[in-house]
Amino acid sequence: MTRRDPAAIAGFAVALGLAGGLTLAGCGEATGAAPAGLPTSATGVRVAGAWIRPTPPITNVAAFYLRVENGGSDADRVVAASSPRCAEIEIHQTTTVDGVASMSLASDEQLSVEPGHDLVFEPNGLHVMCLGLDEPVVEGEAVPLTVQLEIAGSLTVDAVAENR
Amino acid sequence: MTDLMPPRSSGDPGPDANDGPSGRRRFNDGPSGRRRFTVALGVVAVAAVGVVAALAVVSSLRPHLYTGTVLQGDEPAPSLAELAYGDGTPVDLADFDGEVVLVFFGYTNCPDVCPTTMADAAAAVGLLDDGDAERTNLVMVSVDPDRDDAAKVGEYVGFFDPGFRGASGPVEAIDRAASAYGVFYQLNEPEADGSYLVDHTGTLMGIGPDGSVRVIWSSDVGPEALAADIAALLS
Ligand SMILES: [Cu+2]
Repeated sequence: MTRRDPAAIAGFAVALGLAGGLTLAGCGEATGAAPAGLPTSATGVRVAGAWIRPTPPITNVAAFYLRVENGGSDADRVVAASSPRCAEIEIHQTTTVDGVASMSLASDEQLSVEPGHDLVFEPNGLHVMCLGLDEPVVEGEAVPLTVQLEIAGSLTVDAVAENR
Repeated sequence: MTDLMPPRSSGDPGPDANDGPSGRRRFNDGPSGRRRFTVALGVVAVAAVGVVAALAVVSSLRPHLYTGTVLQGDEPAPSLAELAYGDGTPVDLADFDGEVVLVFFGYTNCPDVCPTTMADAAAAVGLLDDGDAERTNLVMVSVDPDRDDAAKVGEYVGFFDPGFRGASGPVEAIDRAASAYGVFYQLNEPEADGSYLVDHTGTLMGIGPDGSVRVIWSSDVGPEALAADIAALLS
């Protein structure tokens, strides 16, 4: 798995305007070596059920969906994400009002996850949006995704490409 | 979920209660009492079968309950003739007489709502029987003609189902079509790299076999409900 340079991630988070209170202290010891199965942070947070929809060859955007499960005892917050397959990643919330769907950067509040709770990224809602996708996502492949949390640090998982 | 179920043991004696000691005590007025009870059970069973059969008849007569919003009125669906497919052929809704057409306004740089809706529509077609699937069409109109020509939209939707078709045209024609279908869209401020998002009505509109817009589905309708509604439109 690709380990991202924390400085680059921090820079990216700042660019996203999501960096308020960002700590990188947990980054590194949280995931340790290349994770087998689902990596869990030292604080008991894990990323589960990550998937991505296969993409038509003519587009270079995509969305990752996943669940951040907070099995720890402290609240945490998703601050950024990255993937070697995406030039850029933004964390978006789709909001539908009177049938009109619009996407905006998810707020700190929308990305917080209380202990014992899951933060769910799902179609037509919260999504990790991939911009500048390098090549089409093909059904069945595994696309690496690193999710960075304020306290838990970064967790890298394979998002399964599937239509559902 | 399961904790909503009451515990199975206490209270309700169930059908076998008269086999247990308490059951015997309750029906201890001799063989005739037991027989009467058996006859009563038989009557209940026959009645139950009757009720089930009656319900089946009623539900087959009852009109389908649509998940989408059903529109009244039988005006023909607004024309899309100002728009064209990738090969230059104008969109002629008369091509789909007697069939269902799903109309969707979206754009190919859309990462969430558009692919979700297209994947769900393709899955819904997959759930239909062959005859209904054959008579189900989809036309996606781009609300982002600067980046999407019709060929590109066609390729985009064709990825989800080879039968789906894409259309585009001049901005003014798209504006007219969008407003005729009650669709709103708006380009967002471009980001530093020039890319931009588009807010747009994410509903699917269903033109029925009679050529009028019959049902509108929200983007989270899901394949099963969509397939059931399409089948009802075609029946
Ligand atoms: Cu997005």
